Amino acid sequence: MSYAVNGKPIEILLVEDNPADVRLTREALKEGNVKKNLHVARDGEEALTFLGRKGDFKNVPRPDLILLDLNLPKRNGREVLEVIKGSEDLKRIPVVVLTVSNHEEDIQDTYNKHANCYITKPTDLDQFFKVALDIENFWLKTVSLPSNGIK
Amino acid sequence: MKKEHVGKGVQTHYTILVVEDDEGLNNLIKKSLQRAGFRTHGALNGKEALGFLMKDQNAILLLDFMLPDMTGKQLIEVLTERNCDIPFIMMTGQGDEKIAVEMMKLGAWDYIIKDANLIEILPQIIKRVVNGLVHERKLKAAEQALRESEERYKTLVKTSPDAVTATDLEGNISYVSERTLELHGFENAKELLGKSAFELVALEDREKAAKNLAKTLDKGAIRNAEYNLLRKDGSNFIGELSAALVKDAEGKPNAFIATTRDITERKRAEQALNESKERLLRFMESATDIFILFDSGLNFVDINKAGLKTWGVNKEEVVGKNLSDVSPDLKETGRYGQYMDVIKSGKPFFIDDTVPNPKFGNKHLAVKAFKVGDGLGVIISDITEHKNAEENLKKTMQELERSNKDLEQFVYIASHDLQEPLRTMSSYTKLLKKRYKGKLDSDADEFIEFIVDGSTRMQNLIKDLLEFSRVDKKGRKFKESESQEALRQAVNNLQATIEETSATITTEELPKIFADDVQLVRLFQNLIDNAIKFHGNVPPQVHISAQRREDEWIFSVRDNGLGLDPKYSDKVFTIFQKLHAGEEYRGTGIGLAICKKIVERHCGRIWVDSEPGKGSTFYFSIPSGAIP
Repeated sequence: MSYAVNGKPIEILLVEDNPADVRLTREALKEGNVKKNLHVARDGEEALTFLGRKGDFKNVPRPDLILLDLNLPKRNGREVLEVIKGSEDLKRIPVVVLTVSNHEEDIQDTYNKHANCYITKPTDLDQFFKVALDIENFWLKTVSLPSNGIK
Repeated sequence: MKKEHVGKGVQTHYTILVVEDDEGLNNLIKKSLQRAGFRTHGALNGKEALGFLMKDQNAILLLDFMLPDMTGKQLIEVLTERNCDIPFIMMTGQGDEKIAVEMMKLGAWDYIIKDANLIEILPQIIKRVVNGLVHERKLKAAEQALRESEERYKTLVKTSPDAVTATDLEGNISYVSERTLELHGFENAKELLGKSAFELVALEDREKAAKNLAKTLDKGAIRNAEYNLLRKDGSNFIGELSAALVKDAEGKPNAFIATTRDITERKRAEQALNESKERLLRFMESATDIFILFDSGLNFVDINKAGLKTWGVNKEEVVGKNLSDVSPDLKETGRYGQYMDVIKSGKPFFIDDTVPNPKFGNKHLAVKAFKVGDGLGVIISDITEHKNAEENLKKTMQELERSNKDLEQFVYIASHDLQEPLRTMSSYTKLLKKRYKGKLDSDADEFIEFIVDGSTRMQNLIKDLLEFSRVDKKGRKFKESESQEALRQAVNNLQATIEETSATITTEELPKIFADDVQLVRLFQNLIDNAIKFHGNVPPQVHISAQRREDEWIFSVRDNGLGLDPKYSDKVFTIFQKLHAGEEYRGTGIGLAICKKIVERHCGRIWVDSEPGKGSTFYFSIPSGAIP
């Protein structure tokens, strides 16, 4: 498994403007037993700067998994998703869309833009924690992720 | 010449049959008569005479008494037997007067003695007999004519629809026809004969009747006098009477003949017609609409009060005038031509006119023009108020629609945007509870519990409210949907609750309907959820079925739950209406309101039939055809 192969922690980028949700996600992920670093981008632009390792983010690692909210200030989640999946460098990074919306159109649209999966944020805390655990179990434990930096 | 003339007038009708066995005398007689212009035939015996008479009965017999084969008397008797009434004149020898008398008794017209004067006087005698015959025939014809005429009058009187009554000059009844009896309600003529005809006239009209009687005596006749007449039972009817004075042979008046008919019905019809005309006139004059009648050349024939008032004119000022003289501008606007077209084509013409009025604002008029006979009828109604009201209504409707949309938008945005912070609140209170329960004091634990509970309920409320606002806003297009499949999904969604409560869901075959299938699932889900929710001590049983009624399907969801008081049957569908204490049963009070909204979006109705303790049956109808 990814984290076991080289012993490095898994790098996760959470793109989320709501600090409460950021904290909640952090708390939820804490409950898991995978060694990971959670990076946070507060809007679409910051997310793209992070991924491009520009400005303040020159030395950040490339994330192994992206948790992407759709409603973001400046550049929204759909744009971010389009840039990621349109980029030779970034397109292999799994993107989990995590949003409050359960609209059919949003689901269709994000899969059309090659999102790897779509999850509606549960309104209930226990459910939310369970989803976080499920994400960790599946994306960080079950699946094999591509190695960083290899095109 | 005189002889010729005498004979000519009668000879065409009669042949003089000379029956005489003395051939010489026979010829002599014939010649003499022929000279006098008579047609003659000779017979030498009785047999010959009878033979001739069989062919021609239009004859006068000049008969000798003594014939070779029979006597003249025998001949007459044979003829009488044969019903041949042939006039005959006897010829007898001198001294045979006894025979002559006998023959006269048998009907001889005359007798002649065969002496020297015979030939000379014969034509005169024949002539007299012929004249006598002609006279007799005329008399008979006249009598016959009289008899026939009398018969005709009798029949006429009998069959006449009018009652015929005759009186003397004082008015005492001398004859009544069957119809008279019938008209006045009598059975027998005896009841009336000899009585005064005035007794058949109502009291108030007797003076008039007496005057008319005098007038008839004076002028000879009166026609169509109207009276209130009486029946035997005292009831009244209106009669129309014509009478004539009858004079005797010397021209002296001696009777009246009157014909009477019952005109009650006619009078009533006339009165009804008059009343109808009167009503119609009053209607037209009282109408607030303008009525105008034009002739075929658009000249005013009539106009009602409303019309006169509108134009501020008197009737005399417009009647007879042409429309173009009264309103010259109508020719320019084309209206005059349009009216003429109606007269020509017979097709009515309707238009709503707006007439600018600087003082009162625009006036709206509805004009209807239609053909009346050869002319034109025009009705003009002032519909200004109606139009204004219509416009106001339209504006109000638009405003209402907009405000409704605004409200929906508000509810949607509010519920949508409230979700986010609420989720945060709810999540963190739960996290607080998760991490710090039992680590603070017991008060803190209780407070946290209340916050968690409140935020959870608020979250459910907002979620349902959002869904409620989405029924119309986010509804899908209707398509043919299997309601069975929608029910299956609904039951599937409720699996957890069903297991938790050990509920039994049963169903009958459900139809295909035209619907928004997602909303159909929600509809079943909410109704079944509701049915399970309010169960008593026994496990809930829910039965779903559908029945076709005319052009709609009636679905029913029946449960064995608590039931509800019928006075709440309408309230349950109102948003936020909870009939049960919140502690006991979960729910936001929006579920059924959502159902109602969904059903109404499908042009259906929803209602509940329930009694406390006996369970509830919720019904909803969906049109069976495609919804426009």
